[in-house]
Amino acid sequence: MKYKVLATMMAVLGFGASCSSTRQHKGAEQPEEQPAAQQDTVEMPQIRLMYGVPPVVFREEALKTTPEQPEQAQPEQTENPLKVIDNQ
Amino acid sequence: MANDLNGRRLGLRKRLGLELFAQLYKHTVEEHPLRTLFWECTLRCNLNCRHCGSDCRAEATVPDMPLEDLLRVVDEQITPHVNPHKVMVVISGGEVLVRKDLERAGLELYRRGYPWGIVTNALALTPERFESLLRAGLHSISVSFDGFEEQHNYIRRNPHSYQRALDALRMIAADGTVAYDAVTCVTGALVPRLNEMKELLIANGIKHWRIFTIFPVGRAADDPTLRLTDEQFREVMEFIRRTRREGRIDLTYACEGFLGGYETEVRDSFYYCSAGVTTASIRVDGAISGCTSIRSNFDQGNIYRDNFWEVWSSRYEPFRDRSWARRDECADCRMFRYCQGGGMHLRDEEGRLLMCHYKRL
Repeated sequence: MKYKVLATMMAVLGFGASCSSTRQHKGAEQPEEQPAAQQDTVEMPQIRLMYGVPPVVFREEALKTTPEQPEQAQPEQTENPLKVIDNQ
Repeated sequence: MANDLNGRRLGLRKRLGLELFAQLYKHTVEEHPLRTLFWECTLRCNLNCRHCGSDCRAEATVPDMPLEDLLRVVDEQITPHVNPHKVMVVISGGEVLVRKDLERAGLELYRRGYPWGIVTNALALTPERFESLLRAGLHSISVSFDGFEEQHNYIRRNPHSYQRALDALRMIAADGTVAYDAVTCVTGALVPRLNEMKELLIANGIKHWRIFTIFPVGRAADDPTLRLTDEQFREVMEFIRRTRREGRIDLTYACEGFLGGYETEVRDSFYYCSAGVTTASIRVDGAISGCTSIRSNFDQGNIYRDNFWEVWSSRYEPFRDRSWARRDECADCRMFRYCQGGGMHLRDEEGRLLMCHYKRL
């Protein structure tokens, strides 16, 4: 309950669901393909982690085709032929 | 510039927002709902980057964690306590694409209802590999992209890495089925060219961009060519702020640290360190921690001897009660109530703060 009160008060101050005071420009192409994390109004908005990935909700339809295909293991990359390391 | 923000000043509205957010944070700490789980699946890497925080090598001294070990923890110790749909599993490394069973790992997580994603340098992300990841239920992908060709290849120490990363980002953006972003570690050399870089990304159809700045851990600690001056750091903040207002590309600064007047100007949310609060990691050796970039002296357990959920439920004291961090330069700082002493990754072995973002502003 207190969560909701806090969230409401923040929204009143302009720190609403996305908690952003810098709204993206209306002309900006919003990513239909970017399924944004569902913001539960009683939860902390997710901060973008330094080494993380864009957070998303689970999509049942995420599998592109049948699930059997990826069972085949990918070839191990033991040595990358492109690898060029300088030692400077 | 005249219109630049003073990052050290907080207006009344923002201060009130921060006060409310601090209460929200306090409640979240009490509940500590798991929302992000990092799995450091390997320390092997096909690059040897100058700024690597993991200090990865082509041949890691620690072997990869077997997938079955992760799945045992997921099935027996995590899934019974969470809604899997709400827990994002981030598979990280090393370089994740060197693992031949990455697709199997992703598919197993997908079958259990977890959205999953990867962070990659994309050197090995061919169209075929991307397709196979999509078939395994990939939800989200971040590609490291550290500037223009010369700079990127200098940092990555590979003459092909820039083109591979750019090709991969174009491919992912054009495909349009997964969430993605380009992740840029901004160095001093890149600061004057950030605007050009923005145009490059836009011209290539890349719509999502995340920036972070070098912090003194891993190899980056020893390389002065990578660091930013305070003035450059402020320039980066202003660049992000302007770009967000412009609205041509979705740009955000990563979690890193508290930013005073720039709070909510360069990120969607107020700052908080989610490590140990909503974020956990299982490192390649089984260590249980917050984020993978946090020093091992903050490890809270190990999956090979502890029950993950018991650890998550009852340990993590240094992450959830940051009163210990109120020392040294944080001792008298009035911002401590908002930043709680900054990111856990910025604390050294003795708990000293390596860098304060707010004081750079």
